[in-house]
Formats: sequence, C-alpha cells, structure tokens
Amino acid sequence: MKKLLVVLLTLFVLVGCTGKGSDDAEENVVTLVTNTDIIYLDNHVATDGTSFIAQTMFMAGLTELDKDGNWKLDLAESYEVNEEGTVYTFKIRDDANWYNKAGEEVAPVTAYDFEYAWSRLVSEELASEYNWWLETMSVESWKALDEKTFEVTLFAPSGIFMGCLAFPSTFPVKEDFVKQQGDQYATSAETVLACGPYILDSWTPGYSYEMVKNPNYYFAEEYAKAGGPDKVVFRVLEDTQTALMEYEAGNIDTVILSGEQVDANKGAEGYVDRLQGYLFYLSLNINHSDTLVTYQNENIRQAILFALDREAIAKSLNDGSVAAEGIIPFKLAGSPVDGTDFREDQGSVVAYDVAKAKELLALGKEELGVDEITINLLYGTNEGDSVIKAAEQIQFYLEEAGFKVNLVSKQKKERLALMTDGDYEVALTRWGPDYADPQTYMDLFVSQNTSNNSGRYASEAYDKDVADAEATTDMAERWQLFLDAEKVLVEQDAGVIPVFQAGGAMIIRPGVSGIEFHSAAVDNYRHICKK
Amino acid sequence: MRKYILKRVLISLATLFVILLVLFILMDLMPGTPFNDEKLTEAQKTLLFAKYGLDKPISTRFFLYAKNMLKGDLGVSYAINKNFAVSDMVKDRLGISIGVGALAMLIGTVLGLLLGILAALNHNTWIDNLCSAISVIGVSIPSYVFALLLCYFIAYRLHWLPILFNTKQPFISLILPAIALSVSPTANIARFTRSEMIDVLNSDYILLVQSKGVKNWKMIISHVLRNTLIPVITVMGPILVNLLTGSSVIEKIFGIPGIGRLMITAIQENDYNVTIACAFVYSVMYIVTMLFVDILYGIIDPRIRIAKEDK
Repeated sequence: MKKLLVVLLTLFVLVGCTGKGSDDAEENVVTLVTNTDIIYLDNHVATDGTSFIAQTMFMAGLTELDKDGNWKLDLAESYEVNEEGTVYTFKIRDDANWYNKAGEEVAPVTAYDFEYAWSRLVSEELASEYNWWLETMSVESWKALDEKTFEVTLFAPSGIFMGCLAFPSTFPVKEDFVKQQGDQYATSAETVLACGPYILDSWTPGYSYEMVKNPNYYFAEEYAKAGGPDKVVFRVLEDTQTALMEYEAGNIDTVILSGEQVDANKGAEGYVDRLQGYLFYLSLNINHSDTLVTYQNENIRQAILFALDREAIAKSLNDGSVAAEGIIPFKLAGSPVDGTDFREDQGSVVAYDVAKAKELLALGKEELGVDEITINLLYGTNEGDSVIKAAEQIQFYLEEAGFKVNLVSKQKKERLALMTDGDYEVALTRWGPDYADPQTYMDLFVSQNTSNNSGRYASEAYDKDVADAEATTDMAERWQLFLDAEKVLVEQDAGVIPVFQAGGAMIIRPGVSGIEFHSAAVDNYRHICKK
Repeated sequence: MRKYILKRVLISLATLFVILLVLFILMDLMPGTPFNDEKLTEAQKTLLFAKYGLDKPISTRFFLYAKNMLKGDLGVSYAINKNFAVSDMVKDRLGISIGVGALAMLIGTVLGLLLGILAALNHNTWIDNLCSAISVIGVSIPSYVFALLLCYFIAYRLHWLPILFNTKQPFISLILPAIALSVSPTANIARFTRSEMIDVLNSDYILLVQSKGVKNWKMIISHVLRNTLIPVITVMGPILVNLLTGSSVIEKIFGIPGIGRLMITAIQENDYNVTIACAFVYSVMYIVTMLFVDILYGIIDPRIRIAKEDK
C-alpha cells in the first residue's frame, strides 16, 4: 500500500511539473465552445447551424448580416438593380481571392465561381437539402457576365433577396478545385478553399476546429485594430458542467449553460440570455390519418389552444425561453413600413383560459360522441432537456383542462418519420427560421406543402393569404397578408398550437465582443474581438 | 494447441459474419431513416436514398457491404460527418478510446489485485473490511460521479491535471478519465480476487505447500496467485473489452472524441454505416479478447491445455 501511495504521489508531482505548456502565449486566441460538431464543411450540403457558422467564417457571400440582422455588401463591392426590382447585377471585389490551408493565394474569386456554385446547389446529383433556397429567394436564373460581374434575374421582386445572399448556401465555390477533389471535397481543412475573413486551419472531428485570420481579407486591417484575434478555436464540448469548470479555469472564452446552471450564474459577468429563432409548437394530426377524427373537431383544437399556460411552461424551462404569442417568433422580422416587430404588430394570437378550454372540450366531446379524449403526445427525447420538460408541462396543463395525456417519447429521427407518415396524434415539434421573414413559417402550413404540414392542416383562406402575399410586389400589403394568415392559422382555426420560443443562456468572457446572434439564419462570429 | 486455436479462429470468423448479418437486419428494422429532417422533402429523400444505394434490397446491400468490408471500406457516414469514410472516423476515435481504456485497465488491474490480495491475506480484519468497503463503493457509484468529483477537486481546485482532454497533452489529459473509468473494474477485480484467493488459501494443496516449508511470499506468488488468477482472468476479458470500446459518459464529460460517443450519436442519428461499424468493431474486440483469454488459460493452467489437446 505504501509503495502504491509513493507511485501515485510521484505521478502527480511529475504531472504537476510538466504543467500547462501553452504555445499560443503571444497570439490573440479566442476559444469558443460548441455543443455540436461541424457535420459538413461543404456549404451546399450543410444543413445545421454549427456548420453554417463555420462556413461564414472561412467563406463569404455577396452580402453579410450586421448585428441587427440587416444585410450589407461583403464580397460584392457594389450592385445595381433594374426598375422592376427583378434583375440584380453584382460587381465582385477585385481583392477577393481563394486561399488554401497554408494561406497561399490560389486564384481570384470570380463571378464564374458563383455561377457554378448556384448550379451545383440545385443540381440533382448533389441532392442538397437546401436546393429550394434560390427559389425561396425568387431567383429565376443567374449568369456570370464577365470575371467580376454576376447577374441574377428574379421571377418577382423579393424583399428578402439581398439578406438571403448572406446565407452559406449561396456562397461561391471554385469549380476546378471541387472537381479535382471529387469525393474528398470538403472533408478536411486541406480539401476546402477559403474566401472569408478566416482560413480553416484544422478540423479534428468530435474534438475541435480552428480558424486563423486571413490577413488579406478586405476588412482584415480594420478588424485587427478592433481586436480581431489571430486565431479562433471552436472546442466541441457536450457536457455543460465540465465546460463551466473549464471556463472558470480560464481556458475557454464562452460557455453554454444548461437550465440547471442558469440560476447559479444569472448574475455572472458576461451572462447572456439570448432568444433563438426556434419556435416550438404542437402539430395536430388533423387530416393525415384514415382513422383519426379527433383533431378535425375545431372545439377540441381550440380547447388545446386555450389549455396551455405558456408563460408558466416557458418559465419552467429556465433557459431564457419565452412563451410563444403566435407561430411567428419574436424578433424574426420587422414591418416594411416602420420596422415594428411582427409580434408587436400582431399582438398575441393565443391565450390561456382553462375555463374556456374546459367548455370547448365539453362541446367537442359532445360533438364527437365520446366521454373522454386521450391525447398521445409525441416528442423527441434527444432534442434537449427543454423539450422533455416542455412535454411534461404540456401534459400537465392539458390534463388540468380535462384531457387525458399519454407521453410518447421517441428519438428525433423516429419522431420525424412518424410525423411524415401521419402516424401520430399530437407532436411537439419545432422550426428554425432560415431567413428573417414570416414566409419561412407561413410556407410550412399551406395545404400543398406535404413535407412540413404533417397534420395536413388545410384552409382555403390561409392558402389564399399566403399565396397572395408571395405574389404581391407591395411589401406593406404582403406584410398585412401574413398578419392575417397567422390569425387564420392560429387564432381562428387552431391549426397549430404555438408553445414557446427557445432561449439559450451562455456566458461570454468579459473582453470578448462581436458575437452577433440572429434569430433567423446564421449567428455571426466573423467580427468577434478579444481585448 | 495449434489445431485448437485454428478451430477457434474459424468459429470466430463465422460468428462475426452472423453478427454482421444480424446487425444489418436490425439496422434495416430500425424506425426512421438517416434522412429524416424537418427540412427535407419526399423527393429529396428519394434522391438521397438513390445516391447512397439505400433503395436497393437488403440482400444486395448486405453482400455489397460485406465485400467492401473485406477491402477495408466501411462505407460513408450519412449524418454525423456527411460523406466521411467510416473507416477513418472509427480508426481515429478507436485509437483514443483504446488509449484511455488500456490505461484504465492497467490502473484497475493493479489496484484491484492489490486490494483483493490485501483483503484476502488479512481476511476478517479491519484491512479486509476497508478493502471490501472500497470495492462496494466502487461498484455502486457510477463512473460519471467519480469523473465529476475528480474534475472538480483534482483539476479545477488543485490544478494538478487538465480538466478536459487535450490533443496537445494526450497522456496527461487522459489520466483523469482513465482513473474515473478504472473505478468499477478496480472494485470488480478486487472483490473477485479476494473471494478466489480466500478459497485457494483454504485449500488442501496450500496446506501441503505450507507444510513443506515453502517461504510465505514464494507460496503466494507461485501457488496462491497462479490459481487465483484463472477465474479472475475470465472476468477481466469482458471488462477489458468494455473499457477499450469507450465509455460514452466519460467521453462526454472530458470532451474526448472517442468511439463510445460516436456509437451513441450514430444510433440516434440513424447513421447506419457508422452504427454497424462501431458495433462490429465491438464484436471483433470481444471475440478476439475471448480467444486471447482462452489461450491465456492454457498458459496459466496446464490442465486446461492438456484437456484441450485431447479433443
């Protein structure tokens, strides 16, 4: 036993002596935490926020989003648009270049790179999950007029077009490089090219990825003066407890907090409560089943709508989540007239009234000729703690109103499969907005959208509002039509039941600034600074 | 002996083939697909299925997979790191998991044997009780509790070791995870060693050895330990495989990119090729370890060797 103690002690002393050898001492390095890894470096195949954030750092598009979510020119130096608002001509910066991992200039970024990239995005061969992106932007065709001039024709004017150019799916890629790499393209730091403010230096899947600054980027000098780091390290950490210890030990600069950690850290310096764009709602299987008739009954749907105390549910999640007031989340989009937030403009289209819910339920039961309504509530167990907690809360409030509720827990992929097949009753699901416009949500519930409208909600009035909104060139009218459509969908029909908007709490080390959170599209880390 | 080993190897290979088949069928029966995403349309799903050959019948896919596997090609990942070669993903992470696991096994075996021997030699004294108490605690407290305690006290408060895994200091940053992982094997091996050794110490042949006047330490090493180790090795086989194939929880806590975490993610994401590859690697390691344990028996206990040669 003594020997063992001696061995152990020696070991610790030895380890203590070797200590922490930091070789980044003189460099300005920011280390950020991400709880998921990059899934794909290829901006045309990626679908997740983590991959997109990485791409906005080492790549760039014609525009980028500022901290308020408004677009500004990035790789495009200037642009012109015709009177009808349907033909855009972009001039690409002369100093925009492609760089390899070593930071060597490979070639200039040209309009041909954009032309190829966009064709690649929509090609059947690639089967990109974002191949609909250009259509959403109202893009009809595109071509390179010369090396530095890129022309895009829209089938109708679009208020979201310029903002959508900041989304990685529209970023350029270099054709001969992509073809030369073949299957290996974008599977490592060596097999991608950079054209953004950073260069991808390394990627160890499941562990970390590192970016070094691109000193030749057009805003590099100004950025360095503001405190732009030499290197940004993203560390993949799933466990929030050890991550918090690592943060407090000074080894990382941000930490994502779980619900339980929020209370203890609320007053901490650098604590940030951020609102995410994800809107969680209950999808009711209205018409997507041969046997189920319960949710065709409007009173039953309305009873569910009134039964939920959304404030209490959001509060119980304790992670910065807020009660939903409609299917459009807060801070998603501002009115084209005066910039008022959609939610503020509309007000709440949901309410909590348990007495009314009971009344409606009684009516519904009578109409259906049943004594009891049992809801099988489907939710995902691997979609975060907040989903599990929310499902339990929803069960509680529905039971308060007189429903009987069984919780059906599945893995996310299985939940989605069941919803696609219409093999569910009520499901807790979510949608993350791809762009800052109500359309990203409104498109989901039109009757012809069989991919997303799992419950097959069908309303002529709603379909018409959405179709008219997308057809009109009058932005104020469009806005009004979306406001009307939401009222029809939620308030009038209870076609979907909004529950909460996801929040996220994190701590950012004082001195670290420039992380721009957007409720739609991609958070922006390309202007991060550390002093 | 050679014939025996050859026979065992052939049986192992056949077992592995059956395991692969069962895995393939189970994967096919798993609900959902790798391409279930809110944002994916039916048409896109069909395209993706065709792209990865998942629209073909299961028999065709199985034989294609088995054929490619022999060439070392385990397919590509569909969901975790899209289009990555699974063989690369598994290779990189298996290395780290084996590193942590082997270190944990080393600590667990040394500590476990020491505790067990100490307890057995001091049977029914306070030392025995203390060792037993340590074993019970080790078995009953889950490793992640130890992991967090170690992180907090050793790394966070005392700064003796890094909190998280770090590729720049791979050995040093793997010590804490290895200690956390070794707690349960230490306890298991200690308990097993103790009870086996007490049995051996009470046996007639030890009495004979003692009456022959063999020195105490010599008796323990060449007579008692040798006979104690045979059953202990039986339990060590599965423990070793368990440790080498990674612990999802420990990997999560220490931020280690290991194979345990990969397998859990693969199952959740329905990433067929990755799940099959991880499960298959697990099976291979298990079968190889069992084969190794069997051979080891023969070395430690001549009776087993002779009995097997007779067959």
